[in-house]
Amino acid sequence: MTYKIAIAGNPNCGKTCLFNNLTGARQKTGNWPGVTVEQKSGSFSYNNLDFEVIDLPGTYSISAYSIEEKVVEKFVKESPPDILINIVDATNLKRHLYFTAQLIEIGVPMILVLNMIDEAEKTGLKIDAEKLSTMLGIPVVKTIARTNFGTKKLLAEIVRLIENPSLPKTKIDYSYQLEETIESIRKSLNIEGEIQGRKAALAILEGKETALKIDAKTEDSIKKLERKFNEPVIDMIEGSRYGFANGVARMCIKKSRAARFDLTSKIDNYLTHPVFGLIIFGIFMWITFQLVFTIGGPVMNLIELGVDSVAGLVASILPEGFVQSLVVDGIINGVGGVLVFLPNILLLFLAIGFLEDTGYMARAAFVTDNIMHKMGLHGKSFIPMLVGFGCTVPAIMATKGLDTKKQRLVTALVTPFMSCSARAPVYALFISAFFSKNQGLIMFSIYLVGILTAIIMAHIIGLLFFGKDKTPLLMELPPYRLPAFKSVITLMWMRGKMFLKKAGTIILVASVVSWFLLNYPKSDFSERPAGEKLTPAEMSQAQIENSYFGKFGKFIEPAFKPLDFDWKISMGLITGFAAKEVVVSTLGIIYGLGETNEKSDNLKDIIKKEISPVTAYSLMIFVLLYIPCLGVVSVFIKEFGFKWTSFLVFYTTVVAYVVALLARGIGLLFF
Amino acid sequence: MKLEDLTDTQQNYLETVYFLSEKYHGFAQLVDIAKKLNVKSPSAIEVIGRLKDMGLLEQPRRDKIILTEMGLELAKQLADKHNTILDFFVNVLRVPRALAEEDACKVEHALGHLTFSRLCDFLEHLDSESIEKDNTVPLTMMNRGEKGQLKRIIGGKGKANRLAAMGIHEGEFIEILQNKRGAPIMIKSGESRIAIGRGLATQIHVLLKE
Repeated sequence: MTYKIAIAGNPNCGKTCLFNNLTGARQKTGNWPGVTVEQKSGSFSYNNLDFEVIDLPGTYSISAYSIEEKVVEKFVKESPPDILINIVDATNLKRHLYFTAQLIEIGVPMILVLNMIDEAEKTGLKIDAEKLSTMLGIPVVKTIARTNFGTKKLLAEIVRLIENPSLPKTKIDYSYQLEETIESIRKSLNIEGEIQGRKAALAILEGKETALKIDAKTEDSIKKLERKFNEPVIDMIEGSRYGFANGVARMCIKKSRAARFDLTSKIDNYLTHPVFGLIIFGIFMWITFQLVFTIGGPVMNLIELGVDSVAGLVASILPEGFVQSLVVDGIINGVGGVLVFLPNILLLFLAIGFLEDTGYMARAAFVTDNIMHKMGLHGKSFIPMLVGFGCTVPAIMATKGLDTKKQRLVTALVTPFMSCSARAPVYALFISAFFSKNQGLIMFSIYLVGILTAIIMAHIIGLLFFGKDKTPLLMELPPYRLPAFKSVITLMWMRGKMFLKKAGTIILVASVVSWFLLNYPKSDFSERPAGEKLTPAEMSQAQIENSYFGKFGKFIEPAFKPLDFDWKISMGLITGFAAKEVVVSTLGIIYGLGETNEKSDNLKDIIKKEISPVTAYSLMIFVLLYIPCLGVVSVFIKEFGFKWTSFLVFYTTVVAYVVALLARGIGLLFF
Repeated sequence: MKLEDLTDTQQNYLETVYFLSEKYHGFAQLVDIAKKLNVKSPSAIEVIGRLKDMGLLEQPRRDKIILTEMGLELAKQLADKHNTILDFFVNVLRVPRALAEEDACKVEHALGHLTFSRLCDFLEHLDSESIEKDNTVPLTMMNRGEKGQLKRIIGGKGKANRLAAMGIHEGEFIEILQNKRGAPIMIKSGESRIAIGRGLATQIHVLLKE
């Protein structure tokens, strides 16, 4: 049988590291049912026993004020684990003990993991683990999760507790009148087991238990108690818990020498300075961006080369026809389309993991909070939006780091407006064809429109769907620490795996479908008379015109009349759904030039004849804002579900249309 | 002659002469006036001449400038204004003294008679009521490095509980690590460093430790 272990603790105390130490690579992530809170679970075996481990979200208490706390509360109520591991930060023990007090009262076998004892020692703290264990009534294990120290002892303790299960031996002392009330409720409930009964009684007094009812006499005595002490009962209970935590802390923690030089505060003087801190933040963001895209770029090229050579190899093996086309153009290309995002994603999460672990992320959120709030966003929104300038796919994945659903959604919904690098070839083509005199200015104006649209839409969406966000910032800034290398790598690996599994399958399927729609129905050129042989370019042109996609393009042409986009342009835009760079190559094929890219002079000449400068500009605006590519849609579905993804598709198209129309109107008026 | 009849510059000169007279046996010297006001002697001579014409200053000797009775009257009014405003900035708004001095110098000329008298009324009212009773200040009005004990959190229970779970509850000692205009406040409570948005911080009342 598999035993269930749950790990609970405050944020920033090394919980994830401990989880990694226990489960190694055998982990998986998903979401807790019904909410957008991440759920991490894993497994391991030890001493011929099998264990399943659940990493509960980091919380400060189980009072259900935030969605994470609700998740933890629900979990302990509905599916209590066989063993509860409470991990605490030894350098800040007193505060952590409050949560410990709450956990003890859940009444399951529990182990306290005293983590970061090396740092505690450095600050001159001496913690009497034995006394701590006696006063808390549970076993205590000292660990340094970062270096995997103490894991063996922990495992031994877990096994011991499984073989001889015992509940926490401590009862938190409430004032004696309160104890009387607790006792009388407990008796009237008739629940088996003193601890369970007490737990239920406390739940009722705290107002959390609505199913069980108390009799009028007890309700009366509660009111009397509250009047006498001039305090609601729930405050009395929490006050006692604090007293307990304080008392334990006072008895078990001794400061053996004066506190060491407070490095964290000294660094914070610079990193959180309103001006200086912002500059440093900018530098870190620039470095991140460089890391992800400048290093990722060559790797991506290698992958593309690899995919191409595999495609070539397979093409030479398979006979021409449906199967070869399906495998080479559809499947292998589709796979390539997925793999090509992998380097960026891995590098991005490597960087994010590093920044989080060192504690810098919190400072970044602090320093940008002001600016971001003015934009209707949040401090941590900065990273996804910045990354979005390179590629929106990892940017959407990066929104995981935000705290509330509203922040995640709003940020994710406006990040696609940050012009990604795949759209650059489209701008390059049109700008050099029509605006060769003011290239820089026009390019800049496009990026600017993107940013402004993002800000405006962030405000509108935020207000429309979530109402006025009045939750003020309340965030802990953990002390600066060296990152745990293993943790960072594990995070990177898990995210990459998740991307491949979930988004990957969607992209692959969609690529095959899009291949089909572009290549069928197959135009038959064999019936042409000998004198009218078509060039390969002309064949491609005819093929695309007669395909399902082409027919669709012609079908929606009237809708684009106001923008002066003919069916050829519409087709280009449609194929841009697969990947934005494809817009250029599609236009090349449609205009009969065969394989081209944005540098082709032929293509530029033809386009100059086909459309006007104003149309070209509004086309670029449209490309900037409309439906993000397949990759983005896939990760969006994975992160936020179908409902919000359909909204994304719908509203980006509408916004693109409207703004492009506006641009056209202004263009026609002035130019 | 009323204060309002004088320009800002003239008021500044009057105030300076008053200040220097108090310090140095009842008169002020030209060079000292010029130095204090950061101007060149010729400019100072011109303004002083004007004030002499208005009957506010006398110059019995070249390097001895004194206030006339009327001048003294006006100067006292000015000093009074300055001190009241300074008092308001330092003790009520908790602006650090150096900055408060600078701003008081700028503001004192701008306040008209009515506004000023209302300010005085307000300060009197304050003195007699809440400040004496409680002596707590909201977190937003504390300065970097100041420490205090948390006395009260106003607003819903939810807020208080969230704060409490993070270690910020009544009785705990708090130190201000950073309080810059418009930005969230950073505090240290025990070993925890916590950033609190201004809207929430203003509802946390602290008793300052001297």
